[in-house]
Amino acid sequence: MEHADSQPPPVPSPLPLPDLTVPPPGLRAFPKSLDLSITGRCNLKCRYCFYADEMAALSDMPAARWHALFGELGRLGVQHVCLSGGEVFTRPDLFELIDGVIANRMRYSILTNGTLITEETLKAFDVGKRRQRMDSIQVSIDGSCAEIHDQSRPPRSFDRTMRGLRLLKKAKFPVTVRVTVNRANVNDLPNTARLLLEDVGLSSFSTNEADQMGSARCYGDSVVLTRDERLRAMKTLSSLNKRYKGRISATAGPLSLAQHFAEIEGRLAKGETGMPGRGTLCSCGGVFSKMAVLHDGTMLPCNMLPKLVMGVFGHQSLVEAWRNSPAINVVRYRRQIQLSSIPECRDCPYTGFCAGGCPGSVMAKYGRLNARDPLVCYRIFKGEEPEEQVKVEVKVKKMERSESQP
Amino acid sequence: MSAVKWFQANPDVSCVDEGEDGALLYNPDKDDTVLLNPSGRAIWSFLASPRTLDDITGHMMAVYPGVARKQAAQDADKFVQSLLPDFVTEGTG
Repeated sequence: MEHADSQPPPVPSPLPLPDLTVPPPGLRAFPKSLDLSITGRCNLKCRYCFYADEMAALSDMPAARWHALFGELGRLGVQHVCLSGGEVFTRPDLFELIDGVIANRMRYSILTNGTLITEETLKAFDVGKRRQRMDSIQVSIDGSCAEIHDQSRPPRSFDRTMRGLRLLKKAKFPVTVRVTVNRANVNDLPNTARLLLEDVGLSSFSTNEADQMGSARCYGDSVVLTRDERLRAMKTLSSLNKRYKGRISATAGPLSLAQHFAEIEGRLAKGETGMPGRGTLCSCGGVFSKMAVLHDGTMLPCNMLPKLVMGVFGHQSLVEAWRNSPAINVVRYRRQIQLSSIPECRDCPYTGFCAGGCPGSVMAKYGRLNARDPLVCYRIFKGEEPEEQVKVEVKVKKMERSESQP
Repeated sequence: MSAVKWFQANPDVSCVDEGEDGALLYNPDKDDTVLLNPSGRAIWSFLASPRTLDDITGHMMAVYPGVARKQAAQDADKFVQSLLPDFVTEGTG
């Protein structure tokens, strides 16, 4: 009794910790698709490249190991791989790798900066089923002209990228474009939309937003949008999307936020306090059907979560890592965490509408997973975040910048 | 003498067992999937080599001994017809 009086009872954990070596019930036996960074080499050096740290630190796997990986994926029944880098077209054996994907009964897509695409390159896709099995080839365009686009990239990038894009379009490839909104192009979005949808004649393009990770962390405030710029981008992209009848899409970034916040406001006006499937850290469903392999064979839940290593292909079993690695299960179980249990969200009236944001973005900002991403916070958007909370966010950003500077 | 028609599983199609549900076929050329029930799964394995409808009927009767030949022949025909041409290929000779 004396002991009980002098020692306060232990505070119970708000949630029982799951066994992270056991996957959530109902998980697929293997991933449906994988993101494969097939090279760490790139002919450009973009100011917001999220993969910059890994490109510098890791070495490319030789083709033989990629073929072994494709063989395993084929035996499992994986249906799709997305090939990225680095820049995929710097790999001299790219088409050999693509043929390996095809031989193992998969489809593929490509992410590229477009600068190395020539007529000869495109002719090489005519061999075998290289064209037939391609779902899409995505080119990054960050402005309507060299003055804007090349602020994020080395000189002359724009002209070379546009040449590649026009060649792809002319040859009727399933080409798509991604515009990453950043400080250099935020005022050029109407011109960019006109270039892509009217001049080039794409059926649509997608957008996202540069985040404080990879090389963007080395450029201080010059890359990532300020709050006012993000608000402007949200308005501009919403207006452009109306004008172009839904031909601009986004799963993240200003347009996606504008759409999400508009839905919240519509529901609030009806007196609703939440929406289905929200209220927990559930924003990323990718880890239930996808995983990533970096150019050195490192297996990750996502290539934006480089610290969560599931193993190395060839040393650990891919299936074992998919099902039993704590590094991916910790992301899957994240959706059991109520936002109301997170300190910065505890008294937020909008948690019923929120999913917490991208785990990769959160991890890059805080070095931990179980937090919300301030970029997707409706309370911050409304200017209702307690002042002290906003200061904490700013402090975290400043610390990260000082760490990344030499 | 008329040529014999045969059927074979498309070698570009992957087959993943889904436990008691049967198996999932995926054709990467068409980006299309089909779910097979367990009896369909048993026929699929048999189609690794070219087979006639009579072969498939015989195989079904061996796997399901109580099935009448007429019923087995109808089921075999229905099965291959439902998977032609993307999942099962046909030929003569």
